[in-house]
Amino acid sequence: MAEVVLFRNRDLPGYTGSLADYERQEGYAALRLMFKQYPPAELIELVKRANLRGRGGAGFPTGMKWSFLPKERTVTYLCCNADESEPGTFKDRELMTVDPHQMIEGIVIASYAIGAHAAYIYMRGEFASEAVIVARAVQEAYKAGYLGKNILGSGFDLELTLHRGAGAYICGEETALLESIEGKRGLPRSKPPFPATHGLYGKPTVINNVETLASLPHILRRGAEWYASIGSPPKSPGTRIFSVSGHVKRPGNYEVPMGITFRQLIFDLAGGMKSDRPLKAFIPGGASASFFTPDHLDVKMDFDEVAKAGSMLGSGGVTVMDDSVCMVWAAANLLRFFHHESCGKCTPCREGSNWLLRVLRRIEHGQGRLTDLDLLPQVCGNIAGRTVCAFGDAETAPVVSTLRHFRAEYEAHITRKECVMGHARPPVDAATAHPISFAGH
Amino acid sequence: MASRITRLLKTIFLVEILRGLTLTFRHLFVRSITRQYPHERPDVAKRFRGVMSLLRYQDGGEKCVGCGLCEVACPSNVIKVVSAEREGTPLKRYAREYWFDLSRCVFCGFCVEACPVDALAMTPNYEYATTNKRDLLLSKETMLALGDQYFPNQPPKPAYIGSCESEMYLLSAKQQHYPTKSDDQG
Amino acid sequence: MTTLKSPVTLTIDGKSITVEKGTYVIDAARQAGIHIPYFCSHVKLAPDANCRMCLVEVEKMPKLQTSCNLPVAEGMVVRSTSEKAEQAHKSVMDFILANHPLDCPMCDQGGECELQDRTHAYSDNYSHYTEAKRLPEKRYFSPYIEREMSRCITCMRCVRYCDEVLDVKAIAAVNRGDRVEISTFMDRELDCEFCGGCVQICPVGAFTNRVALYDYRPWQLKKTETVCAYCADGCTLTLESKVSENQIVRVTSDWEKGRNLGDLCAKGFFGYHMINSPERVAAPMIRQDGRLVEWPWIEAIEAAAQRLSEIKRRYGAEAIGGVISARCTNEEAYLFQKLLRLAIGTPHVDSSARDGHLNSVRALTRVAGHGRMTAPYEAIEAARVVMVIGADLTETNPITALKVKAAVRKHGANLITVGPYLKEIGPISNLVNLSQAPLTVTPGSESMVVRALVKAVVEERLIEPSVAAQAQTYVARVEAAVTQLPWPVAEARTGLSADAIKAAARSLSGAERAVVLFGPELTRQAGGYDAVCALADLAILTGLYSKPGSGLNPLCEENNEMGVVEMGAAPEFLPGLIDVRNEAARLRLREAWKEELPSATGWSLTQMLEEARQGRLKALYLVGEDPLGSLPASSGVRQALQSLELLICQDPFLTETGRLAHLVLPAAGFAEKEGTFTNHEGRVQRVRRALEPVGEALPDWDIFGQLAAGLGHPLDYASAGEITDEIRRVLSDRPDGRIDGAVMAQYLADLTAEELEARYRPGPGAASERGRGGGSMTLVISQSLFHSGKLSRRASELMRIEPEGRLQLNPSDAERLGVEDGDMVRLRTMDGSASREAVVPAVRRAKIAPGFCRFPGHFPEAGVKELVDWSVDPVTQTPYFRSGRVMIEKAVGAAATASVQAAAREGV
Repeated sequence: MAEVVLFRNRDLPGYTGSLADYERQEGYAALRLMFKQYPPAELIELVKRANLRGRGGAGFPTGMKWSFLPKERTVTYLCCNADESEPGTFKDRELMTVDPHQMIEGIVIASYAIGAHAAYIYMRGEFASEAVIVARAVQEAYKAGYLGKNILGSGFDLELTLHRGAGAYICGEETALLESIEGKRGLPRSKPPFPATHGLYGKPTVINNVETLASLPHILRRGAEWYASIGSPPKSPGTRIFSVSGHVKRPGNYEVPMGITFRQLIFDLAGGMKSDRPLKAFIPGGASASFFTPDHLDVKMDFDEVAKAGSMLGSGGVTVMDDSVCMVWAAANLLRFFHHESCGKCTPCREGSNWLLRVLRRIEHGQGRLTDLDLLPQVCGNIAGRTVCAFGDAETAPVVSTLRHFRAEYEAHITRKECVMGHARPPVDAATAHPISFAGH
Repeated sequence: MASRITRLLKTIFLVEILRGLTLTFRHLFVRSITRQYPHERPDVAKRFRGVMSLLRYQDGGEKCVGCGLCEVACPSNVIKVVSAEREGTPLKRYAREYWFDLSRCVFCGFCVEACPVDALAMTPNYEYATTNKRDLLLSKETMLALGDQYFPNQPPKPAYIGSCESEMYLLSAKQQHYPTKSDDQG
Repeated sequence: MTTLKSPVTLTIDGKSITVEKGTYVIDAARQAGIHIPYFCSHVKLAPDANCRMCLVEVEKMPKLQTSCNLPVAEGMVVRSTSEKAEQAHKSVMDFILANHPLDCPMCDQGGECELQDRTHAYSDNYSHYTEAKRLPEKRYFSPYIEREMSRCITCMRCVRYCDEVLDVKAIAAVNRGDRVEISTFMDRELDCEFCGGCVQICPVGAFTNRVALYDYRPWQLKKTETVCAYCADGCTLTLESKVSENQIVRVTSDWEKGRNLGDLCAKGFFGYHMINSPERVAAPMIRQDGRLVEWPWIEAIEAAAQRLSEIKRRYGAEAIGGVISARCTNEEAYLFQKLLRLAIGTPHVDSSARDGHLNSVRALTRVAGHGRMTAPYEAIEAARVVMVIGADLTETNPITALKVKAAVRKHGANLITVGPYLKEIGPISNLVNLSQAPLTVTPGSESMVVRALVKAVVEERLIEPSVAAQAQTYVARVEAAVTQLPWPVAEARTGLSADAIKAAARSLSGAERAVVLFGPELTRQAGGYDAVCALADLAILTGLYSKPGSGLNPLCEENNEMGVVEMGAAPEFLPGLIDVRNEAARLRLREAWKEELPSATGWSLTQMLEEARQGRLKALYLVGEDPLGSLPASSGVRQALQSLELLICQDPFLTETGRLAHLVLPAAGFAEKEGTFTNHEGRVQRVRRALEPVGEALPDWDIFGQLAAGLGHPLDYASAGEITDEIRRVLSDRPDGRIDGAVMAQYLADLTAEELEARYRPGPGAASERGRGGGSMTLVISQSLFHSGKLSRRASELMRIEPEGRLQLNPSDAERLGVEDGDMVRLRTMDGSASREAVVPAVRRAKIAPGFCRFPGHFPEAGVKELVDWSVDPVTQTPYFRSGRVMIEKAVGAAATASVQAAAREGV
């Protein structure tokens, strides 16, 4: 098997993730190296040469993101996006639990590169035990002089604050995350202006994912060329952690070089289908990504190949479904999540999520109309691309892709009241049978 | 010459009169068409536009919500609506007063068309002649009575789902301390 | 067309247009006459782009863009009517209408609803949405504002307005997704400034005016644009009335008009009920056998004329005086002084502007030739440094406060507040919260702060270079004078450190554009005239008078204080702020009027009362004034009024003074007459008639005209407009608010070292030490946001919002006294051996500094005004009766009654 980078310490016997353990595994060596050898500008060049792409979802080149900051700036902030709330994704969680100092080292490196003296870790509200681990690690790092004033005698100051969210999916969106740190309602901002110029408290801000930041020490230690050569060069280098869940034998996080196929991931690493039923569909990159069918198993897992096949690698959460799953139910279930998490700021997403959910529920329970199958893509088309943030595109992806790949299943629900999960029950009054509650959230 | 003789003969034998009377006599055998009003009353057309009336729902509740659209639709300024909040029921709008000046009404029916809740209907009644002009100013009560008389069988109130007019909604508002406007002033 | 600083040319729907850089596409389109539909965008608010209605197609951009937050770029090609854009508009309408109820017939917004209009223009005739609509639970919100969340389209205009413009943040969104609701903190009953902004800005019927609920349909209303009669901010109001009922139904304001640009306060929005108050006097009344009986107009006027002529014959014209309220129009004030000076021939004419405003006018006229603001509202908003001295601006002048808030929040100005106020998060916005370094001073020491600031400017060499060069003598004299004031004294009196004062002086003089606003706690406290003179020194030295965009701004309470004084309703001023002793100017006026006018300087209001008590003033003509109700008994006002032979009260209401009068004449209210008001900026604005006067009431100018005719000296005007024309003609040569350079040069040259030394000599002590009452707390009679004079007491809704005066004190003081909110407290003063007391309910306000308490002056029946010190300014004759030292204790016995009263009130 290929080289494990981010999880190299995970399976070491007796490794606790404490500072002492981390230092024993060459922890913070990259930091010392950086202060010795790399001025910020060269550091940015290094990351650009490594062609590190953001692991949060969009896959935007990190070095490029850093260089978008305005030349003239007084205050710069770095935010580490640890609000990992995409259903089916749990890589950052394990990264932070196993090796929190790896992320902290990455944060110091990134802050140094962009000249930030204040950094924030925005931690998902539900991560209670992870918050304890990270808070302890931050404390250790402060004590050891890796954070705070004059880090390692370099004259570089960095204050790192752990900020815990209050439980909103949307706060993983970078501008909503900033609003939340500022103490406001976590609603995405309308862009432009982008955070690179008007971010936290209106100041230039860089927001990077945990996995992205955790990769930085390795790039520093082992060089940009090494990083650019592994994985699927030139466009998608490096390793990537995929969270495999669903109907597989061994669900879990797998760090693999980019560019292996889904078949390798699901059938070799994750042990193949649970109870050996045939694979029906899988989501390649978190709940926001379009569904794939068995036809797509040989698609190479890098940013561009997946995009070419009509979905996205997203946050790296691969959810596998066997033939016991009803696709209408799956879409409705995801919409239940998106409806619950839609922030309500902009009209298409707010009203559209409700609309889609109600129609899908109706179809699921055997009360659909054939015209609904034209209505659904029409509503989706009216949402996607017209919302403030990418949430609108995310919530339409499951509907559009299941309709594309599994239209027959929808028709079976509507015309023959057939469902593999037995959901197409005889009609009941839709308004009262499936009320969408308004209070008590 | 001949024509003069013919004319003379016609004059002597009263031909013209006889011809005229033939028509008269022939009509003795035709069905009469004069209506003996008020002993005989005509059947008016179904869509006859007579005196205006106000309607109720099946349960006796007034249909009118006092929106005043009839007032603005009226070309001869016949209607005056004074709307208010129904006491004890927050936000429920009704016409506290409804005045209809029949003496000026041109029976165009615009008000009926304007009404969003079908609360207005034109009765087949055309016998509103009176010796006192003031009687032609109809109050809400009079108009409701007319409605009850001419259109007794009305449908129940539709359940407006998702509207603050719906009973369920008004009930939820009523369940809490919610002073209505008239409470405040009282 | 005005030239643009950096023009950008773009094409919208095939139309080429050039606009300023930074303009948003939607505004550029508006300028080109192209309407792009929108909901959440609003002229008062920063763009939020949440409704997505304004989507347009932009060339070279793959996605549709929201035009409300898209800045224009050179060569941009925008299409708002392309197929793609129109489809987007339709789809957004479909989304918005999906959950919008179909209750337009019973919604008060129906007929003026933005959603209705857009639906007609941009939507298909039917909805694609066939699912059940959402139905949020109905919950109680407020007796004044109705919230109907099923109608809400979540554009957040209300929340943004409440935050961005008002800085109140009373409402916010709760929940998410389609469960979003606008609510108050913890869903409590709304408690805020009640500005009505959320009602006005709501594009749909989610927020409606509960006070006028179902009283109207928009198309039934006659709209009259006029000026508010409450405070001197000079807001443009649209009075909306039902002609058939001669009643104001509601008040709105146009977002793009007037000095307020659509913003209103509770008085403007909810205070209109005083116009149609049942307490209005409907007919003239004459005292017969000790009772006031209704009398026909013609005979009442005749009686007034006859009795005035008789007094004039018996005692001379100088036994007659007149006082006009600063709530009257300019035309009325002008005609009133003409009536007294010409028709009667007495110089004794004064107005209620005597109460504080004359201090600013007298001082500033000496310095700059007029008493208006020298920095208009636009300059306040654009200022880099704003200093507010002696005013709790939100309570006294709420709309001017909005300009200060905009300066800080929109343009990042540095705000310095000077007053006994602390930061407080509460239902009413607090300017102190916006100040980075507020100067929280010992109550009553504002004038000392001003002197200390002058000292700091001089000592720190912060004098504006041009002033230092031009007025060397003056500067030298000020330098000498401020040595009279040692820092330790200033520090002890003000409770501030010298460093804090110096820092404030530095930011004031260092600012590119600085504006100083000063209010009643400076002008209505003892030594007010000297304080304004010192403030003028500060303004001169820091260059507020010479730097463009800077200025010194006096704040007024009553709506036309500025106007009545400028119209000559003051014994020391002829129309146009001409000094009565100025012979040449008097001669010019005599030519204009073609008549001789009395040459003597008249008596002021306070002097008139004194002279009446002495028996030298025999007749008093009060127009809209109620001295008995407003002045404390210690001023001897009752004896003065009782010793008069003739007291005429001309007022829309029967006041306390009116009950003593021999003749009561019913005057029309501001909504029932034409004329002009001058706000404290000096803007003269049209007042328009919206209603027919109640009963037989007549506009004041009409009454003056009839009375003059009765006196055999006709002052004939067919309309208020004719008077306006005459004023314009007579005052054509008067300065129009610009600083009179000649006057200032004269002032700087004439100012003697002695006067300056007296000005900066620390007097007998700050108010806190000076007060006679002998208590430990400083009491100030203040103004309230919800009231204005006693006019607002007749406005039923304002009386519901604030039904009684409450003594506001710091929570630490309340704790010391064991007082909770609503508990009764007893205020006591000792004047020699005599003890006076008043029992009032108390309320804790973190904003009030410890040792300080204040009581709204709009509730004279509470008796608090009897506790304060009475004095008269030696120069301007201004009466001072708004502060004193009191002892406070919990009134144990009265606590029960208070709660019973409160319970009774709630039951009503």
